[in-house]
Amino acid sequence: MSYIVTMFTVAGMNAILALSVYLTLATGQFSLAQVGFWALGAYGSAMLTTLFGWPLLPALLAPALLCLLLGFALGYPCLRVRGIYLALATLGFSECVRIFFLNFSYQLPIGGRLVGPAGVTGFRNVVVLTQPWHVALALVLIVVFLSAMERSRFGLTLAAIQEDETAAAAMGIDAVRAKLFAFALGAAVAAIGGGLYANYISFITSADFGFSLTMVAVLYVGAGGLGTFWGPLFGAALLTLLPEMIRPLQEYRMIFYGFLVISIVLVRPRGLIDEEVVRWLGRAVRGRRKLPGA
Amino acid sequence: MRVIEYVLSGILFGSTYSLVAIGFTIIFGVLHRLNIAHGAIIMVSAFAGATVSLLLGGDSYPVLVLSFVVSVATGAVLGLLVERLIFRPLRDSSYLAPFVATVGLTLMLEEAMLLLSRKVPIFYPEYTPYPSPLEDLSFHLGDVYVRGVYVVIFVISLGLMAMLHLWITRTDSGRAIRVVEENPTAARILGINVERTEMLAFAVASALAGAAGCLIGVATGTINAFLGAPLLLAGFVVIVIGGLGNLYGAMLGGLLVGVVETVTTNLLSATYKQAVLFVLMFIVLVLRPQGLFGGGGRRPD
Repeated sequence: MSYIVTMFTVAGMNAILALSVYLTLATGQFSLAQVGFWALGAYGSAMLTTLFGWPLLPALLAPALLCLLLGFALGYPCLRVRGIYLALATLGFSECVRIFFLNFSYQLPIGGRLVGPAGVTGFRNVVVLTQPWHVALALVLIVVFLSAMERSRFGLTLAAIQEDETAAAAMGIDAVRAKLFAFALGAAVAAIGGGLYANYISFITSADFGFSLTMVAVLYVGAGGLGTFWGPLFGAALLTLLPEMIRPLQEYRMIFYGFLVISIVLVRPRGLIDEEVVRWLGRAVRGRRKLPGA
Repeated sequence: MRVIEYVLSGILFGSTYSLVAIGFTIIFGVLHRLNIAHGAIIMVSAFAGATVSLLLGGDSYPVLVLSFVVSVATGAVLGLLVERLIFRPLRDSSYLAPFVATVGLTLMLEEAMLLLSRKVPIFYPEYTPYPSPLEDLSFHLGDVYVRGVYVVIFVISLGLMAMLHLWITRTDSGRAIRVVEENPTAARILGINVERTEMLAFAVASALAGAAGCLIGVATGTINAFLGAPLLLAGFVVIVIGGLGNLYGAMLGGLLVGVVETVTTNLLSATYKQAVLFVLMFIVLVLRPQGLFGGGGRRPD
């Protein structure tokens, strides 16, 4: 039982990472900076809780705020470039963050032993504060926030920019400002996820936040589905739980995993659950409810 | 004197980065898509070449030539497969779909190779040796120490780049690549078979990746299933510095990245070398997105 809870908790944290990728992608920006913010959130909140005894909530929010500001600072120069160029620039950011933590040491004596980030060997004995329900609550709050945002004026602005940035700008939309906000929000969401992760797993190293995590985060969104937040949510759940479900395949399971991702994209280039599927499901649910009155 | 040594070995080894980045940039130029599996193709080709060396005895030159040929052929075949199975079906989708699919393919190839290196007796799980007669070759130019194997890989890389230059400027099939890069629709009107040209671009680009795999394996002496990812990252930096889609930018950019890498490794620390490269890439992207070398690259859009 506890194993299943653990798996779903990890899936939930991965879903937060996927949603932060989705948030920036919602304005047509393909950002690979999310893992960098995730790492900053993880190290930041782990240091606040473990070294300085902060409770979990402020220890999550303080790095998130920092990453929000950093998101504005990084987003501004990055928004000069688009598409693949933006992806490469933001990948550079994530890698620099990783290398920073690879070389970062700051230890304090706690309970008779030195605790804290210790370069290559990572940060051991982070206090475990994250409970599974914390992750569930954070995920629900983020999803509620996202669906409220999608219906708001800001959400419509983002949709307009994604559809056609030039046309949106011609209608008086400040595209740069909206994209910057989405970028910074995505950064804050990633930082919260990273913070939850560090205080759950209890041991983090810079190697956890490398290129491979960046790629996996893209897989969640790309295989899960573009266009709505349901896709990344589903993608993260599927791709986290699947390797566990196919454990009988043993050493071939990661090969199968890669094969599955390729197959999904070849059959459905916009991912498993894109806006068409969501619309169809929505109609199916609503249709059934309306039936008696009709 | 030391600095000259670092710069020299940086230029020599950097030529392999040029090969990696040229392949990358040809594919980007023709299809406007990133082939993330490029790194994995390098890795598998290196293993293919190492297999020849390990089976036939590593210290003879004919075997080395054979293992180079096998690496190049493996790269070309893999490239054709990737084009046919992933990029062709996803031609009309957004750039994200082939990106995701080639990430999946990278995972598959890395895991498969890791499995093989555990199972096949001639391989080793951690580091598989890539034996070659060049291993202990070295000489001095005055006070400057030069590894012989670096000189050899530099000469071979330069030869490949010269051949590529001649192909792309002098032959019909090479010129077709440039036309498709410039404007696929116009290429079709001119009677160029765009699909065939794309296939050819993939084959050549991946053959260069295979060559790079062999040369890097020989230069470092060992290979493993995960050698592709850092090369892919280095390739990103090179094509940005050189200008995306700019062939000659990629050639020079590779040498520059090699120099920056060896100099920071030796003067600062090995852990910072990638950080320096990525900061460099970031600055170029923000200030000069068309690349450092001329205006040959594409405008970012």
